[in-house]
Amino acid sequence: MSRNARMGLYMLGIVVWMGILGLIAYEAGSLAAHSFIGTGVNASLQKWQGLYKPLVFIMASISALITVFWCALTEWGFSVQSPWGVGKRTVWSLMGAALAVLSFVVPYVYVMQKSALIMSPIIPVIFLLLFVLAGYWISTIFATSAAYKYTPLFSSQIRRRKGGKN
Amino acid sequence: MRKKMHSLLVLLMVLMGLIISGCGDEKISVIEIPKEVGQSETVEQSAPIVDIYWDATESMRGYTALQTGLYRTLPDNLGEIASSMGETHFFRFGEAVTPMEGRSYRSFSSPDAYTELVTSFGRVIDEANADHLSIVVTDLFESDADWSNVTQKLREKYFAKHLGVAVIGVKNPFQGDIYDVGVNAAKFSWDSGNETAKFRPFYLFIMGPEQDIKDFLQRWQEHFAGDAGVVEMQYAVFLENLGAEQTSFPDLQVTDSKNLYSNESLEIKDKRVREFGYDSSSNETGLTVTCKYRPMNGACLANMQKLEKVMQVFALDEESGEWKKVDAGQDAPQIEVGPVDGEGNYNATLTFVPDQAISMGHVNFIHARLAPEPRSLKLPPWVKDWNMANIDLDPNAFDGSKTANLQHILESLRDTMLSAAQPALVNINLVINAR
Repeated sequence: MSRNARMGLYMLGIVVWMGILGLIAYEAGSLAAHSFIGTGVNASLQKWQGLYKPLVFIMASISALITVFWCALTEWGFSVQSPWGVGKRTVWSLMGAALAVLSFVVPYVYVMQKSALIMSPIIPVIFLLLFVLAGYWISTIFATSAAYKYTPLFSSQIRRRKGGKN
Repeated sequence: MRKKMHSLLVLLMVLMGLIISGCGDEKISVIEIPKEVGQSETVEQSAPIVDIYWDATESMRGYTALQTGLYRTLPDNLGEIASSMGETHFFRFGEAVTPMEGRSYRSFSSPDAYTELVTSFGRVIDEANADHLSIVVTDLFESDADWSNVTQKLREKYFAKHLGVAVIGVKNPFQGDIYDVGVNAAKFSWDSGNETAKFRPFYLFIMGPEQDIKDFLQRWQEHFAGDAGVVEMQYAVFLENLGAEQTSFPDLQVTDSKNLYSNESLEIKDKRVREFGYDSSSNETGLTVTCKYRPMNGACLANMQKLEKVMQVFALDEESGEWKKVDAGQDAPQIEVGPVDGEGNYNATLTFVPDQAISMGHVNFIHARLAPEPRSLKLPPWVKDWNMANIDLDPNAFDGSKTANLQHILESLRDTMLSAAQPALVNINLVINAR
């Protein structure tokens, strides 16, 4: 399999993985919502889920986009003499940090548009755990191109333990 | 490597399938209110059919003798109000009930229409359709024996089926004879002239679905708003809903809750019922609603210090579709009532622990009701003033401006309602899906 084909497969895997994380975020958010949506006539769990679902879709898409972008950079964007002026890990960290910030910002911006969605701080925390840690971080450990495979934090420990070759 | 990737993709697909199937629609069936609690209101009400039964006995003739008063124009006015509600039919009754064709009911403005000798209110109730709004125009002269027969029929046909009864009393000029008064069936003459203090009451006896009765009363009051202060009118209402407003969902405001959230996992069309879910089955769960006691004009008055707390829990047997009673003993849900403020507002709090109070694994229906204690429900004060109690003991005490045994008649109506129906100040109906 060529390097490009393999990277294409990795990217597909990232999208599928983010989709699964999206479903988990939907279920986890729904479960958490039991404790904060209350008993208002217009705030049933089902109505809340109807508004929450697009938010999860947006966050999963952003997360997938950033992760795929990182992988694309490592495969086709970076060169040894990087014009970026910073190390690759810094770029990786900045992208992760941006995603972490978006995990908090996007839900609250979304609530400003859809005021009927009752928001709790637990929702950004769920997004942070799922889309940043389980999504971006884990995905980049396994899907970063071989040239920069140890750039994501703790990647060297995990990928070496798996056999070290890849 | 390729084999590993392939297996991983298959695993991911299976996982996704499992998660998606877990998000499936849980709707099983339409949830209806248990029969023991009340009648379901699942469909939008269509226009009612109004049946008007006119007492055509000779005792009624005196209301038409003088040119003044509301009675002479009542056929037209009543026809107008009833027609504005829905299809209207007129009947005349004495011993038998006879339908009237076209606009022949207008003859009730004339003394010639009153030719019947015997009043049989019981026959009217026999022939009335409980789904219709039935209005009986009468002077309420019935013997005790006749009346106990009437209340028995009302119990079976109306109160036991969660339907209601209302009475409108109207004082009208009267000149004529009144027959069959008291146990001795005495005959009296009465001439009120134009002295309002001597005007004689007649009554509209309204029976049928509560909402139709309320609608009729509102239209009646609006129609005769111009006569307020000129014509003396009084009301006595015998409906299950004693509080008039904020007595059940969706009017009840939930002001506080613990361990509960609004849920719509089941299809419930009856707006008086709300579905909730619980966060933890072992935690104390509570719901506080703000209620308002503002009895409608003519309603029997409840003593807020003497309230009975009724609590019923049912679990849905999905095979038969029937509700089965759940007896949780001491762990059954509890309802507490807070103090009533000057405007009639008070809080009612329902508390329970789900895994002790309801049937886990089933859809549960919790019905909490605040009802007046037996004999604590008071009739409107006008009833005493319009009542003539001692006519059998002293014929000289006859007063044509009053109605013999009115108090007894309305008290028996109230007691029948209390025993057969479920009058309540508040009905809290919750569905909890614990499947």
